[in-house]
Amino acid sequence: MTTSFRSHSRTRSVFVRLLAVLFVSMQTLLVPAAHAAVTGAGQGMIGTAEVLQQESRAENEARIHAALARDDASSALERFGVAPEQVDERLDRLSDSELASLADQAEDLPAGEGALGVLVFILVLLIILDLLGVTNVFPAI
Amino acid sequence: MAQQTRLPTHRKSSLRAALFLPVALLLGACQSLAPLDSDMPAAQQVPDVPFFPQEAYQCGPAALATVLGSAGVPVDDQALVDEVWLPARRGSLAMELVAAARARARLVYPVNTPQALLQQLEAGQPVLVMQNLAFSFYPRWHFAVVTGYRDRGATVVLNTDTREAEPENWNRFVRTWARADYQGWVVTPPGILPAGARPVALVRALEELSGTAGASAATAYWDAAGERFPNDYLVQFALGNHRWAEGRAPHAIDAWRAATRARPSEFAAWHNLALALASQGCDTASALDGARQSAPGSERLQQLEQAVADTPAGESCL
Repeated sequence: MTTSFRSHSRTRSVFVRLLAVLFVSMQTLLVPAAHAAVTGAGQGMIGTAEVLQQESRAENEARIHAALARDDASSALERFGVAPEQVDERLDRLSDSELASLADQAEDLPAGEGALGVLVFILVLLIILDLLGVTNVFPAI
Repeated sequence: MAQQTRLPTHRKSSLRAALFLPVALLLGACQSLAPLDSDMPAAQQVPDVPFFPQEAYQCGPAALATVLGSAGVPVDDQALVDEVWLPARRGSLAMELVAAARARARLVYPVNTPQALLQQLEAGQPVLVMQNLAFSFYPRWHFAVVTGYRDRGATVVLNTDTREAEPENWNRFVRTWARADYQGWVVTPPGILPAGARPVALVRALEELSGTAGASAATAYWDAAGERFPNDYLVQFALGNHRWAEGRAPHAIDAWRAATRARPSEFAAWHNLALALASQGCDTASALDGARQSAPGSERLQQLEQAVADTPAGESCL
């Protein structure tokens, strides 16, 4: 009695699993196709996703540049002996989400000269970008 | 309570990646006042925000019902509980809340900085926020809705758990928000764009809405976006794609033309414009010319020229 119940429930769980696998694989096949149609990529058009990704990086880099162009930020960079071009070069290496996170923080900097937040931001930026140069205390990063 | 799944993907050193959050914490900890612009009033309250006291651990459905109600969706918070509440986790996932709002054909736009939060309140939109009420290493996730602020930004007003219009110290609030990685969202009524929406984030949010609820759900928002950003390359390009997918070829052509005017050096807008003009039997010479100048000698240009040449000529343009 017990064994037959067990084997029954096992058959059922195998069946449920099969259904789940089928469902998931159908989703992965169908969803991108549906989305491509939405963005207009279906008819030989260049889709929105492609342009969005490149615009998104450009916007985030511009937000970071705007923060670094502040007087207090650029003088802090200078104090660490880092040229803005070096920062640009290293920004290219960040992933999209890392770049977005940095840009959000850059935008959130408090206004006003000499604010502590600016120094902290610059320091973290330089550590993230491994740009502390001779004073590099984290060579493994 | 809520669980969080949005874990950052660390491709590189975990130490370096770990530095992203602490800077947010440090900056957050310095703020005892919300960063009000000089022209903002000392206190603001979004009017007519519905209130749903949460039951047990169901802060996610309650907060979601609040912002949905405010965006004009009649909701039953018990129905939302069935949809977004996971009994095993005794909580909701942030991404599920966002998906549930999109499934109701509403635009969900991210609000990830204190400045953006205040901007939404000023525009009369409550903001759904995720908070970590405990520690980063032992999180206690919570969802609440910010409905206003007082005392020149020293206090925020929240609909949270069973309390309506609960005042909370800004400093404490911003620390709990920072520990949840400043995750927040605004949900707007059809055709209304969030205050201070930026082209890139807006287009992404609109694409996500189209993906979840279908292109037609996003149309009113897209038209508003086209009007707000008539000279933005990305918005006009994406608007063209949206209209094309809806079968509104003449309107799509208008938007792509606007995109090429905004940034004549971008190939993508010329490409789609030329294909659309060809399909409508219109003159493609100037669009092909633009494409040639923006991507001379590229493989894609050759494909475009071939595709346009292969398109049978129509009887009349549009």
